[in-house]
Amino acid sequence: MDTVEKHSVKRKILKTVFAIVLLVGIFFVFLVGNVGCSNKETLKIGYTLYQPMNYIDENGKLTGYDTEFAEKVCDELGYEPEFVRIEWKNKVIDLESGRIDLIWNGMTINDELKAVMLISDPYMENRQVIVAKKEILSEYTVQTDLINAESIVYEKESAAQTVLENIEGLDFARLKGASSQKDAVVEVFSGASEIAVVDETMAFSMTAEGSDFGNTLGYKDIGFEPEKYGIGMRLGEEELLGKINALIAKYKEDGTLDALYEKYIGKTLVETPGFWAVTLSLLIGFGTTCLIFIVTLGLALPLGLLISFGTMSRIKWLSGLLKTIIWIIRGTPLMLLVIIIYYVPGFITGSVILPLAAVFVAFVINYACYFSEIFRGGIQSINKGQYEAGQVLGMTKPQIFFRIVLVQIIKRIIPPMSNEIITLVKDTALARVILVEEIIMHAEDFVISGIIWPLFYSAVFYLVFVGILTLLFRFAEKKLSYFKV
Amino acid sequence: MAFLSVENYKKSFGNTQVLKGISFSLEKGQILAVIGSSGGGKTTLLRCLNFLETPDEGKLYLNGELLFDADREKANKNSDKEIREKRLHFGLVFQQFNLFPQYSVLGNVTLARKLLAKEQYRYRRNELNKQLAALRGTDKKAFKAQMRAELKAFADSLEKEINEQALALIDRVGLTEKIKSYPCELSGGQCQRVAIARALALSPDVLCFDEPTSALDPELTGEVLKVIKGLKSGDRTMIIVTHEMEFARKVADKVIFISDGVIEEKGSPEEIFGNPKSEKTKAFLARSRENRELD
Ligand SMILES: Nc1ncnc2c1ncn2[C@@H]1O[C@H](COP(=O)(O)OP(=O)(O)OP(=O)(O)O)[C@@H](O)[C@H]1O
Ligand SMILES: [Mg+2]
Repeated sequence: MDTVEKHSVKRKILKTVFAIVLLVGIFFVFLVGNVGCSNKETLKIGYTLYQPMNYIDENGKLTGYDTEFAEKVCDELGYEPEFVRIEWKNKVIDLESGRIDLIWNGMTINDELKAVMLISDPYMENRQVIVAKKEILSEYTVQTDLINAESIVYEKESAAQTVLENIEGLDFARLKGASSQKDAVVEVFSGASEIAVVDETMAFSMTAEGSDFGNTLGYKDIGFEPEKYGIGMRLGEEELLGKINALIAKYKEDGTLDALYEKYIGKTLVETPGFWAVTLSLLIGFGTTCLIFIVTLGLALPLGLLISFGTMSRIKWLSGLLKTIIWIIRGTPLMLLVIIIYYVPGFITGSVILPLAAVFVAFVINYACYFSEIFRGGIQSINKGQYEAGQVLGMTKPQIFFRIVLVQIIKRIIPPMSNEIITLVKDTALARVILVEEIIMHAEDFVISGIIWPLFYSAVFYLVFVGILTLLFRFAEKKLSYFKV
Repeated sequence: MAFLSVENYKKSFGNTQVLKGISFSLEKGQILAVIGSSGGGKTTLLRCLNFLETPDEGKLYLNGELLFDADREKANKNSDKEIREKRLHFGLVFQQFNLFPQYSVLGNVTLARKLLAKEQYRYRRNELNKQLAALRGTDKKAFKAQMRAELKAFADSLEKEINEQALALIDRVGLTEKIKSYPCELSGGQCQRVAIARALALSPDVLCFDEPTSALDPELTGEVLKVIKGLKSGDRTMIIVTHEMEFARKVADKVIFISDGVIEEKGSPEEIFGNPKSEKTKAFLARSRENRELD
C-alpha cells in the first residue's frame, strides 16, 4: 500500500477533527458569553410551576398571583422581568450564582433563609394543610394525629418540612421527601403514601372538582401555624429591598394585593385545562424534543464518523485518546454528562450556559461516541478485496470510499443505527433534569392543575415519531435489499 | 528488450522473506503460467506487479520504460497519482472475484472507466475555461455557447464509447442476458467472467489472474478457462497463476515454477511438464497429478 497517500488522508482527517472540536468550542463559548452579558434593565425572577402563584394558563402563557405581582413591581421600578424556571431545592445556589436575581414563588419566610438572603416584608399569608384520601381525612384533626399516620410525604426544603419537624413524637422514618409539592400529592393519589403536607393554595387547586384527583382526594387544615410569604434577593441588595418593601406597603394600602388574591386564590372554581390546551402545550414540548433530536443527529453523525476514523488511525496517541473517551462516555449515564456540562462551565467562568445548549453538547458528544463504534464496525466489516479491486482499477481513495464501500457500510449499519436513533428519541426526555422543557416536562406540569392523563397522552407523540422512523428505516433497508454484502 | 521484464523482485513481511529474487521476462502477447505449491509467493508476486505491495528490491520494465525501481522508490516515494497511472498498465483478476455488489454486471464493467472519463472531462473543461478567461466581450459569449456544445458532445461520445466497449466485453464473456443482474444473482463462474470483463475494460497491457478458478465448483471451471483461452491474441500479455496443469500446458507460452519464493524452474510448457529437471518440480507435478486422480 502506498503510505504517502495514507498519510495525507490521515492528516486531513486529523485536521477535520480539530476543526470540529474548535467549532464546538466556539459554539460553547458563544453561548456562555451570550448568557453571561445580561442586560442591566432585566430582573431575573426565579419561579417553579406552582398553581396559583406561577402557572401556565390555557393559552400557554405564564400567569398567577406572583407572576402578575412581579410584573407590576418590575414595571413600576423600571425593570424588564425575565422569568427563569428553577428547582426549588436549588434556589439559594441559583440566587448566589446570579442565575436569578429574585426568588418570587410563594416562599415562606423563616430564619434559615434569612441567614442566606435578604427577604422582603410579608405580602401574603398561607398555611400548610394535609392532603389524603377523602374517606380517611376525618381521622386527622390536630397535628399530633399525624403520629399515627403510616407515611407522610412533603416537598424537600419547603415550609412543610419545617412544620413537620416541629411536631414532637413524630417518627422521622415515616417521612418521605418528594422533589415537588405536586409529586407529594401524586404519591398520595397513587397510594404510595398516606398523607401529603402541602400549601393550602396548592391543595385547593389540585383537588378541585373536575381534576383527576378531586374525586378521591381532599384537604384539611389541622392547625399548622400560619406562615408568611416573602420575596428573596441576594445579601447586600438593600437598595432593591427597600424599593420592593415600599411597593408592598403601597399595594397593601391601595388594595392591589387584595385584588390579586381575589383573582387567583379566592375564586371558588378552578378550571382544569382541556384537551386542546394540553395538546397545544405538548406540541410545544414536542417541538423541543424534535429540536434536540435533529440537532443531535445532524452533528453526531459526522462527528461520529470522524471519531471512528480516529480510532482506526495508526497514530497511537490519537486512537488511544479517542478509545478512552468512548469508554468514559459509554460507561457513564448520559444524565450525568448533561448535568456536568451544564454546571461545570458555571463553576469555572461564573456564568451559566443555556440549558438547551448544554443538552445539545452533551447529547452530541454521547451519541457521536455510540455512532462512532457502529461506523467502525461497519467499516471494518468490509472485505479488503473491495478496496483492492478498486485500487487495481485505478480508482482514488475517495472514489473507492464513496463509490464502492460507503453504500455497503450503510447497508451493514442500518439495523444497529436504527436502534440507536430510536433510543435517542426517548433519551431526549433526560433534558428535563436541567429544566429544558421537552414534552414529558410539559406533560408533568399539568399535574399541578390536577390532571394526570397528559402524561399518558405524551406517549402517543413518541409512538407516532418512532413509528415514522421505523417506517423510514424499513424503507431504507428495502431500498438497499437489491444487493448482498 | 522484452516487453515485460521483472528483475530480482524481493519482498519480506516482517522477518519472513516471501519473494527471494524473482526475475523473468515476457514478450508482447505471450501467456505466462505460474505454478507452485501453496505459500510459495505466487499471489505476492502478482500483488507486487499490480502495486498492491511494494517490493523491497528489484526493477520492473514495461515496453522499455522503467516502471518500478525499489532504490528510486526508497529515495523518493511515488505519489498517489503516479502509482495510479502505473497501475493502469496492469489488470488483476482475483481468486475471490471481488465484484462490487451494489453495481449490476454492466455497472461493474463500466465503473472504473466512467470515473476516468470524468477526470478527462474535467480536464477538458478546465482547458476550455482557461481559454474562456482570456477572452473579452462578445467573443466570450460566443465561445461560451460553443464550449457548452463541445463539452456536451465530448461527454456523450465518452459515454457512448464506454457503453459500447462494455457491451462488447460482456458479450465476449458470454453474459449478455445477465447484463442487468447483480453479483448476488450470478453463479461463481459467471461472477468470475464478469470480473474478467471488468479487468479488460481498462485495456491493461498485462492482465494477471490469481487462481481464477480455485474458488469455483469443478463443473464451473471449464466456462471460465474457456473465456481466458479465448482472450489469447497478438497483443494481450497475460500472467496466470493456476493449479490447472492441463490448462497451463495448453495455453501458456512460458511456465515458471515457484517454490519458497524462488523460481525453481522455467521454460516452455513442454519442458516443464514433459521433461522437468528439478526434483522439486517433479515432486510437485507428481503430487498435483495424484490430486487430480483423487478428484
Ligand atoms: N500481508 C502479509 N503479511 C504477512 N505474511 C504474508 C502476507 N501475505 C502473504 N504472506 C505470507 O507469504 C507467503 C506467501 O504467500 P502467497 O499468498 O504469496 O502464496 P501463494 O503462492 O499465493 O499460495 P497459494 O497457492 O496458497 O495461494 C505465505 O507464507 C503467507 O503467509
Ligand atoms: Mg495465492
